[in-house]
Amino acid sequence: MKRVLDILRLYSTGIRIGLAENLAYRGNFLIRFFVMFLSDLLFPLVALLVYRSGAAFPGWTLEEVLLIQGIFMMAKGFAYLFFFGLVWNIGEMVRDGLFDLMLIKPCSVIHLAAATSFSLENSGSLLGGSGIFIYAVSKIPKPGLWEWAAFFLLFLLSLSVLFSFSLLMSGTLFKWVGNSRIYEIFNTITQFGLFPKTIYSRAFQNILTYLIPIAMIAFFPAAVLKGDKPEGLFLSAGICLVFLFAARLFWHAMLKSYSSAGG
Amino acid sequence: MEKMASRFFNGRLLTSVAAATYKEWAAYRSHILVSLFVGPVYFLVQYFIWSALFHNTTTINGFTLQEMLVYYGVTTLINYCIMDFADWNLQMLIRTGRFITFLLRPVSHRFFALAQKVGHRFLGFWLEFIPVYLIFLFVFRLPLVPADLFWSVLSLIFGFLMMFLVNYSIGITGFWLIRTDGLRSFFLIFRDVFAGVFIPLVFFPGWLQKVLFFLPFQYISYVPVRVFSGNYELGGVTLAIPVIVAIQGVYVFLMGLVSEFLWRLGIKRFTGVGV
Amino acid sequence: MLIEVAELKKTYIHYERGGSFFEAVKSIFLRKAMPIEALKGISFTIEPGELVGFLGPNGAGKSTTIKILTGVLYPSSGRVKVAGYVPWRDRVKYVAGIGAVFGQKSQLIWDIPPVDAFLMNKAIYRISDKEYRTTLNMLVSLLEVERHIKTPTRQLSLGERMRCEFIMAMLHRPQIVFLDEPTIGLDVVAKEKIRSFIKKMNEQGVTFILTTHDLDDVERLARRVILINRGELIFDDTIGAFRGYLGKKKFVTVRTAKPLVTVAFSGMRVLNPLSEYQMEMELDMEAVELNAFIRYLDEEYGIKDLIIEEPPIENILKSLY
Repeated sequence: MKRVLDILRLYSTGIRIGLAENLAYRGNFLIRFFVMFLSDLLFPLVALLVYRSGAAFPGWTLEEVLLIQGIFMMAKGFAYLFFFGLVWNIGEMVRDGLFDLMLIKPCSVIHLAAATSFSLENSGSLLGGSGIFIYAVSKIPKPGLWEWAAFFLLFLLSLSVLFSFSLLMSGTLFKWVGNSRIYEIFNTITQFGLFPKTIYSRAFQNILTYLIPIAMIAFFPAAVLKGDKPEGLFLSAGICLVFLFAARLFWHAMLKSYSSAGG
Repeated sequence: MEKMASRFFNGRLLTSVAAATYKEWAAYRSHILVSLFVGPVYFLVQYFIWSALFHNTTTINGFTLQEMLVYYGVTTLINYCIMDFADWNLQMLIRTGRFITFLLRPVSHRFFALAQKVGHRFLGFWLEFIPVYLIFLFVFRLPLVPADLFWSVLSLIFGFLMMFLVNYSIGITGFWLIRTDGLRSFFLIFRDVFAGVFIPLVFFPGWLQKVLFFLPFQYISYVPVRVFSGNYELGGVTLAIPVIVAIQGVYVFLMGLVSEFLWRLGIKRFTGVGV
Repeated sequence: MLIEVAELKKTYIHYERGGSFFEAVKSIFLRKAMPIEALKGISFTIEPGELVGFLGPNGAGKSTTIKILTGVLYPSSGRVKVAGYVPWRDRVKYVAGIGAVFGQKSQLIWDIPPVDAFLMNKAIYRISDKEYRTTLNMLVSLLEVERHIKTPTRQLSLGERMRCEFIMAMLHRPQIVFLDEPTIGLDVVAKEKIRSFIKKMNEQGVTFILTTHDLDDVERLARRVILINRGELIFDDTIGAFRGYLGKKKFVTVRTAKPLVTVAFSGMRVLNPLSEYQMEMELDMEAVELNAFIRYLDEEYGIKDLIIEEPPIENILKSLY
């Protein structure tokens, strides 16, 4: 219990410091917040334009597509705000030769890297995603208590998938030092999660559900909230936990390799 | 006149800077080769999206499925030929103060930056354009043959210059703004959206399309892509290929004037003239 | 025994990468491994309360040793025990009791005042409010930075910043502190402030391991010197023994009334003829009787000014490297 309190204290101090840093450059912070907010509205905008022209994904209304995209952006926004910064933090420290400064602190590197990377401007994504989500939910048949409960659980799994990705990415940066395109690779892979799973071929659907559970980031939570009972849901949920376990193993192996190579 | 021309175009400088930039970036091969993954996978997603959207119709906004896929494929390929970091490079030079080394030398920084782009993109041609073109051709069976090679190449060159001048002008704002990364991201998204990178411009509302005709962004990517396909349309207006390419050329010239004007303002501020 | 190091070995493996495109692609599949022996088996022990200077040229294995001692690097073989821990194995528990100041790597946060960074350390090291206040006040007054800890780091001078780095490193009252070039780039006054702080803390029982190229730091602070070169430990003794390593030598500067031509004396070696009337010399005290030498100089040339001192440490190092 004390350990949990210590970790919470670490995060709360990290948030305080992050806010102080944000305030040091108020103007730039506001612009970056605004830009994050806007850039996440791009995919919904494209969906809107496409549906406006008369086309549609078979079996999915515009609001249902927006539901998926809203959840995706909320999950991403939440992740970026509270832990995804550890990728950037570790990447920069390793690249600048400062990572040893993290290793001489008596706490888990993952917690430290996440806690000290807090920046309020990342809430731009969370806000934008929430807005789209609220709009989309208002247009689908009203979800009942069971649907909301299931959604909440799946949303947690969605965050775990993003957390696994952050471990995979930061682990890679120990070896592939200073690789600035890793975010591009991440965005490219997770892009599949912005659209209904049904548009992909059978083979890809299986990959996205049972191998790299990208379908859990937004599709499954959206489907469940809509009232569907999508196939592969339970197995995919299990795979998410396996994915998390594998990502942690990978990260620790990369750290060990870094510590044996002297950085 | 000759002196002014040599200030704006210096053949020896072009080749030496381009060669140096080429070599410098050749050391970051793995960085550039990421495009071999990102490009085709991005296209794969588009393939699935549009195949699903076209499931019960043959045309959307005047595009067939084939034409839509060609649009996205060619947009990606053209991007490999015309993209650059001119805005980022210039802002970094200004922010770190290293920019002063250019003022002390008899060289136009804009031309220097253009030469850098030539070197960088020449590398990108081999490492990005050719491999991804082959992937599109053989794996995705995309018919990637230009309607008219001459106009396509000319339009591509204009797009190359246009991208450079727009990016460079964004970089010039670094003379006024201290921390520019936020604004830069905003401009880049703005530029890409209205250059038709995310969706063909004809999907936008009619009134917006008419406005976009007069903005410089479509001349970066949208025009070269449509010239490649052999038919150009925007805001309900169809134009012959030579006509739109000519207009593109005019816009490149105008953008050059705009960047020159911004440059003079920026230098005045940097050197404190009139303060 | 606070620190025990036995037969410590570390070999890095570097991979050759060709320059041309073809070689780079080939290197993805087949890489030629080149082992580099950074440490060839060094051993030493350090008692609590010591102040040890680690010297050695760059690439000698100094930083490798320090990284292993701080738990940041795994050795290839050998035994290390610090305060009862194996540094890299029990990392989280071990580092709670050590501190580090890196001259070139700041632990402060650039845009905000040091006191905010201190709060971060307070949370990381789980320092209680009371302990934090007491220790902070003590360190702040010792280092004379009352006015500076509330100013954004980027507005502080290098000397002020370094003093705040020391607070960062010692807020949690570590028993061992590792210092890596702590006075680099500082002016004389700032260096003195830091050196007197280190001495005071050392008197209170804190063990310091100092890695530096600044020989003044070594002369004024270190009571023991460990020299590492080419992965081997080539010297480990007190600073007095370090100076005496070169044998009994004295460094003499003389200014005379008559021109110093054909100066010769058995056991004397001319180091540097500064001018006609000034000269730097080295005396081997085992071969020279000082009285006789001074009499000789005065009778032959007339002494106007004479300085006799210990040889500068550079000379010792040069002969040892």
